[in-house]
Amino acid sequence: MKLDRRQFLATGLAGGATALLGGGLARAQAEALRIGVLTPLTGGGAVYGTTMSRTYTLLADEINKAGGVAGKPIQLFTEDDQTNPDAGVRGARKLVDVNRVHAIMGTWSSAVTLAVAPIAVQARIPQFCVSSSPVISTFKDDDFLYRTAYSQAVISAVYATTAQSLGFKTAALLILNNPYGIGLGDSFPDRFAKVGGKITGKVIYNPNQSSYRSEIQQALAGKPDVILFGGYTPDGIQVFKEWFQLGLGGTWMGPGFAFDQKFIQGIGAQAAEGIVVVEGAPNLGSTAYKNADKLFRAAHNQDADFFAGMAYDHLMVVSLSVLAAKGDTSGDAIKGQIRKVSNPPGKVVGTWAEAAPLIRAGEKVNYEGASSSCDFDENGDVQTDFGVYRIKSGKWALDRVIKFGDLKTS
Amino acid sequence: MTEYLIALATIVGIQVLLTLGLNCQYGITGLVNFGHVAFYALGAYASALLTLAGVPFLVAMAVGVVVAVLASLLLGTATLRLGEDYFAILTLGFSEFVRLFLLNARELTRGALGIPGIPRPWRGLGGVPDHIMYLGLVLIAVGVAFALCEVLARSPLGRTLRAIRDDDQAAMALGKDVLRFRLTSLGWGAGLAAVAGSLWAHYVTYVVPDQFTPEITFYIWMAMIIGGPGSTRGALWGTALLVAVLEGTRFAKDVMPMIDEPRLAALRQVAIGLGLIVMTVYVRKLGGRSRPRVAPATVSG
Amino acid sequence: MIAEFVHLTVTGVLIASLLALGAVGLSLTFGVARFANVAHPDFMMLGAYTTFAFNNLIGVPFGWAALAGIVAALLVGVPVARIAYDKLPVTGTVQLLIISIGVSFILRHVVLFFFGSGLLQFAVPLQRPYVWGPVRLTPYQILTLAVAAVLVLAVHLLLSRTKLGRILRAIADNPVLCEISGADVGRARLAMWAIAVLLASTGGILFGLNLVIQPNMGWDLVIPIFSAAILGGIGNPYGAMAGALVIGLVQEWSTLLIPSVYKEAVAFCAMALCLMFRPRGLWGAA
Repeated sequence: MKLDRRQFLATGLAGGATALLGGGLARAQAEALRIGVLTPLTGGGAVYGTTMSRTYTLLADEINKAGGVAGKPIQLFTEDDQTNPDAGVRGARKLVDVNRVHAIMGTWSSAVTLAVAPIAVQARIPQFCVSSSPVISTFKDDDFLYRTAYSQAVISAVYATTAQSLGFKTAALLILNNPYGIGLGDSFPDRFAKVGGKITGKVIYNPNQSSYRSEIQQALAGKPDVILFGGYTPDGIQVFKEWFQLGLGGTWMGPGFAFDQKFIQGIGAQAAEGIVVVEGAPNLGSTAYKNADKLFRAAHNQDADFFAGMAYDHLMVVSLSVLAAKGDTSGDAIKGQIRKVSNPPGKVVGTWAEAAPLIRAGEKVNYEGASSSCDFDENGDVQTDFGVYRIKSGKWALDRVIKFGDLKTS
Repeated sequence: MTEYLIALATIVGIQVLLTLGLNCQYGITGLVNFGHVAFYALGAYASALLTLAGVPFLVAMAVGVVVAVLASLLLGTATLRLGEDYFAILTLGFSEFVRLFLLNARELTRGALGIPGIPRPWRGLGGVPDHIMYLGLVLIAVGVAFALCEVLARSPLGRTLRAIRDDDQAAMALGKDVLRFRLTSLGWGAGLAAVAGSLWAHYVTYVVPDQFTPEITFYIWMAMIIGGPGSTRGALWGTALLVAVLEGTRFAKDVMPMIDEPRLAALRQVAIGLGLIVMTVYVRKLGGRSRPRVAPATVSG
Repeated sequence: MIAEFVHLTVTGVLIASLLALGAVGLSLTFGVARFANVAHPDFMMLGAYTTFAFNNLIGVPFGWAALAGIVAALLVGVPVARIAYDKLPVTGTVQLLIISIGVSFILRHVVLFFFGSGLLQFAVPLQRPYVWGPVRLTPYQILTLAVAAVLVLAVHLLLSRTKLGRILRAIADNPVLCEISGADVGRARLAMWAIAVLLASTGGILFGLNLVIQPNMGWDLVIPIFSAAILGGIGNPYGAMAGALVIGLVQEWSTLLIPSVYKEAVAFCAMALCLMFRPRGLWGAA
């Protein structure tokens, strides 16, 4: 009896000590596929990070219920990057140094992705992001950095095409002073010129300014037909409000993540009427999307959006790669399989249930994802489709879908 | 876990350099520098830009020190004779000015894009793992800085600085060029901060203006006050204690997942604020003035 | 060109009226309490958030929410100021400066803890402006200008015509003599904090009404507000208003010459230049 109690005490103390040393560290070092989820749970990207985090969890559960990846359960370690590069770097350090993750996924802000990338590269683990800065394409990452989102260079073409089709001949740019905004500001003017448009003004604004009145008046001095906004929801509300209260004309156009429900609530449905929204369109026809949507709706009573789709794709690609590498979780092994499982040729798959038996049988698969076809080019980029929406009565109404192939992206 | 402790120790080391610098400026000389992060930023950016242009690491760091010291001399000459409160506000404004400059001088600093891919010096030397090598580098820097600061504190220069801190009128009466001594102290602190900045830049391999906000300055103030202003040793363990407590709360999250990170971060900052107040009032080692200040303008209406 | 200049002037005046409500109170406390209260602009934030709580969380219409918000801000801000700045045993004003940093940290992050870091808006509809040629102003913006003017006038009357005003001016001139003469310095200081918090919280509400509410809204204004107060001469509330006007106008006009992203550096430079050549401020007593 005494022995048992002593043993019990000892185990309890050891367990407590382990807990104090940082959660399930001891457990974590056993055979598992450790995934570092580094995503904005607070800050400007909070809505998207939360969606992605939820999706990772749902998919990990599904795969674990089916027996895990080559017998290894997926273990998620989540850090909030706070939409801030500094916090992102500290979170990445913890994920890499303490939790020893095999891959990092979920960074949304380009600034965060670019700050974290050198850490992933140095640790030789793959990193999947949803950031849009053009710099990411050419970043020296030894093929460890991948993204499932569009680059600003590409969406600029969509903006230009959309503006042209809506009859807008002149445009002004109001862009945030950060990698994504600057990226848009660099790419859009050329694209717009190619379809015969003219830029009447370009203003780069800093966040946290007390007033943007003069910036707005400057940008709109040339009375543009359309105002292209390259910022996030919080500053979007502020900028839009000041524009509205100046009584200046023009139609607004911008990305989905700036003009989301929070934005519409912030300025009121009436003021938001007619705003043109462009966002990545999920790969609606794929089994991957259908599965992601099913999982998401069951748990959160909401459709799976573009970001949920991308998160699903990150984890699927990594899991399939590890399975194809016969359980080898080293970064180089995963890296070696990413394109093999996602790019053609091969049998088209979209869910774990579809793909796992084929891979185990040694067959070549082509993962078609929930957010896009997930065919990674030599830079680690993919080609996504786009949805053009207009805000009607406080909601996004789909105007049309622009397929990547239709864009003249040369 | 060792990896994490090594990372933690490296960060503590870098921040100790910042605290040593501030300690010289305020602890020993009584200068209320609220713009310390500016010198940190200048050192970081100078070092990053130069090494990426092919300049050897130590040379780049040295240039960063020169830039920071020159900036401090400029700042000091313009503002030191204006009285404590004004000096404090102006140094705060100065650090924001530097940050704005770094943010908007795109051609030079890449502005909001930041500078990624900053190289680590002497990587792979002797087969030593990179992070241990870097920790070694930081420890050497801290050791040298510590020694220099101790020497300064015990030297005639240090005595003069403390005399100026305690009663600058008396020091002036004794014929000391108070401004020159204060500038020396300011420059010394700026130089140390620049070294810290350079080490920071090459450690995280990415710098962006957002990293250099006044929050950092007051974080270091807290570290200095915990250890006791004026004490070189205090700068060391005050910083270590502060970082240990704050970083330790990261792990609280793993054990208590119901506290979310930003709320935790907010609590940390509240704790820093409370700590600043409590320690400032009750830690008696403060070299404060006991004689009344000169009156500012009268209230008119 | 003229139109653009007028636009900038209007914007400058609007910004100035918001800054003035912060700068006047700061100038008063800086002159009477003899230290730079870096947390002063955070009283503006306090007013905005208390009003937000009444307006958005409880559902009170904006006008009443604003009044309730001011009262709540006074109930929180004045005791905080009294305890932190008047009651703690300090040996010098440098300590008060550092304490004010601590107060700022605490105020901002307590707000952040409860309200989050997101940008918030009052539950008021967006407005379209009145347009007189190049001048465009919404009703709320006109209200802002009016309230700022009225409050500053009220402070002027208080300082020049009332007993409290005389005591405050006397304390600023010579605190020791005041204590000896038996004037109720303690009560006067309490009133001083109340005035400062009242002005600041009103400024914060108007700021939130016109622009945005976020935890750092006060902290982000430290440099411009101090610039305005210093430019106008510490202890001179009229000067602070004039200083705010100078800062607001110079900031906006500067965008004609330099990129608007440098606007905020302009206030700092104006303050630095002023201090170098006229340390007492443009309207400060020689």
